[in-house]
Amino acid sequence: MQLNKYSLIAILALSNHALLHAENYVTVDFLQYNENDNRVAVSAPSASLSYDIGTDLNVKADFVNDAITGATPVWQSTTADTSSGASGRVVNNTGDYVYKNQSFIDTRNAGSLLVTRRFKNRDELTVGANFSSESDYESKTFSADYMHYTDASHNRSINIGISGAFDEILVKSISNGGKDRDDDDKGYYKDDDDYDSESGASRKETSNTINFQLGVNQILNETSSLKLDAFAVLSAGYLTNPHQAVVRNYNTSFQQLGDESRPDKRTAYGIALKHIMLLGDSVSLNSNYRYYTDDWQINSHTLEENAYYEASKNLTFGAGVRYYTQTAASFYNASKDHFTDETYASSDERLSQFDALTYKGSVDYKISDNLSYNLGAEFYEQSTGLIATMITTGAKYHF
Amino acid sequence: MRSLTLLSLCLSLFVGCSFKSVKPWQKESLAKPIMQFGGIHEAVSKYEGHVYYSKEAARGGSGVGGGGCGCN
Amino acid sequence: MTSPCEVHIYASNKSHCDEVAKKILLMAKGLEQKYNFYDPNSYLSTLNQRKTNALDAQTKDLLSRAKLFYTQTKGIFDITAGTLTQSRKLPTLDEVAKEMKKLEPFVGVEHFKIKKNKLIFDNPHTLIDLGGFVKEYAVDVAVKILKKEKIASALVNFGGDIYALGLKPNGEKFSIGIKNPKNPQEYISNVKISNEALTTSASYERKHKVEGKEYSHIISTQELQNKIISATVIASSTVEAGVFSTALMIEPRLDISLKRVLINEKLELL
Repeated sequence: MQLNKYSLIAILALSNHALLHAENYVTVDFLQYNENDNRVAVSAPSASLSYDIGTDLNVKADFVNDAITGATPVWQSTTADTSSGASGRVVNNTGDYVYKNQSFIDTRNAGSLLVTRRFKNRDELTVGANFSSESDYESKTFSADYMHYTDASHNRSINIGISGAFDEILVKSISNGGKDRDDDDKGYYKDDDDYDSESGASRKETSNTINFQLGVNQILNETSSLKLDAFAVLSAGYLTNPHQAVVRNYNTSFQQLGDESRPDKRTAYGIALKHIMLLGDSVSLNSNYRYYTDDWQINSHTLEENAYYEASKNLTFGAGVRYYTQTAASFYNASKDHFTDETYASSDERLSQFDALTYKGSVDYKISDNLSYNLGAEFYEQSTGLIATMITTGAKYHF
Repeated sequence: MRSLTLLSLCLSLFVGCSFKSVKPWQKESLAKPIMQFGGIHEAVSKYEGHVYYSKEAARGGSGVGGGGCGCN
Repeated sequence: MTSPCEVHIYASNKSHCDEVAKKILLMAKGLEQKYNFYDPNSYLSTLNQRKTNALDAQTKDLLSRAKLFYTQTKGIFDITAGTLTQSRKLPTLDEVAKEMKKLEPFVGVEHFKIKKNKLIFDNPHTLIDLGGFVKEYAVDVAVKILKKEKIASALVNFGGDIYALGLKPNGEKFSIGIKNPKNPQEYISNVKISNEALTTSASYERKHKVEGKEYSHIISTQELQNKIISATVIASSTVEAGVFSTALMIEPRLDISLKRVLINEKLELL
């Protein structure tokens, strides 16, 4: 058989998308994330490695170190006008309640490992493990993903994936009472015998999440593809945010700052639709839509549009816009006059109803055949008032 | 229920329609880095996902390979 | 009165505020002197010693209200409990028991009557002790003075017995912090009041009695686990709030229509 130009391309292109990812490379990135009002600021260096072992095995490893500092808005105590009760001067003048930023500093280390095995028919099995650890949080995730081509030309593949995350959270109670929520839906308090609520000692809580995804990837023509996925996310365990507080009302008048409380189960599912196409020779357009819904009454739509432009052999520009909207969780309320002592309750603005817009741009420059450098900036704005910027910079080296 | 309807609609599109059969030697464009669903900067996409996970309530739909974090 | 007293007055004229504050302080001191149970020269003592039976309007009002509270608290609030005070001071337990047994039949508000402006006892032993609500009464009189002086916004706090008059200059209600009975240096709850009185009764485990007040000998029927260690009541007068907050400490199941919160051993708000 004569090896002509077309055959060569054929052999090279016989490799599907997956093989293209299966190159040998190392990347080093630095990401800087900042929020308005001196809220959260994160500096995150990260590194990744992709390595082919033979023709049928690929190993990917990555590591990121987050240095998280800053504040999140939370209900906390401020001063009262005067006091009533047992004698003794009040030293910790914590009377009334206010919703404002509370500072914190933390570091997070996370690492993951993915191993992909390619089969004779070019199907792929990927298994992965991810570990993430912060001072009060540890997470282990294990995943498995199988991609199967349904036709000889490899124009259609189906993907089935499952992952399990096992989280451990260290919790310190905010309220004086320090009682735990019951398992039943009414959310009444129950005792935790092992927990010393008076000293405010930390206790360990766990939560587990199963993520299931099933999808189809279909090549439409020489210059476009479509991807459709259905997913489900099931969580059980301690799903409350231990850093958040709510103000509860007793006998309609008496208020107290207490821990927020979320149900101990969360069932979510949704669909994600992705389309990518090439315009001319050097512009790609990627459109994504995701619909999400869960039993906390949160529904959300995400619409994202990304474009890349290969300006030259060495220079690629990227730009993107993302629109996000969500409804509030059924037990969310921003007011301190709303919650009684018998309900699930959260004033965490991440569970509120809001919209968000992201604008981003990037540039990728190939310094040499093996080395490329990238720089990116993103601007994120929520209708909650949160504004965040992310600057990313990195280098990729092929070997 | 709405999502299930939407899903079956899309699936029927896949099953019902016949798509153009693209031969291996015609896939040069599809193989370009800018034509991959994940974008060209994996570390950035991954971190973006981490930011959205910590600041928004929705999660899922981007594959099972990612990891967890204490940002709920 | 040995408890700290504060009066916050909001008005545009500082010297007027100072004047009014002085008036209130003077009034409070006067009340303390007039109704001092332990001072044999106080007006109350002259009534108890049967040296006089003439009642002024203020005392007549206090005594009739006390009778009403006796009924409303099912006998828990009893100003004649002072009849037994001296017997507790006897040297031996035996003598104490004997004396208490002798005097018990003379305890109860049925042992005095108010006829026109005269106080009539039906025996020589019954004694009246107003210690249980003079402090609260002083707050109510202070509010009367403030209103008379056309003060629209003020906060009176005599040792935890509070009245909030009007709203703060910024239009908000007054914010009251309820102390944590197990750690009185911090607050356990917050409540906003306006034109209302608020009092808190708290007990100390060590003392096994309600702080500073002598109440009926009815023993609390609470079990140790669900023991109430603090009770706060909001009412239209400080006297009413004070009577009920302390009555609730003895009998937490007392059914009252006033806004109230009880705190138990586990620091739960009930």
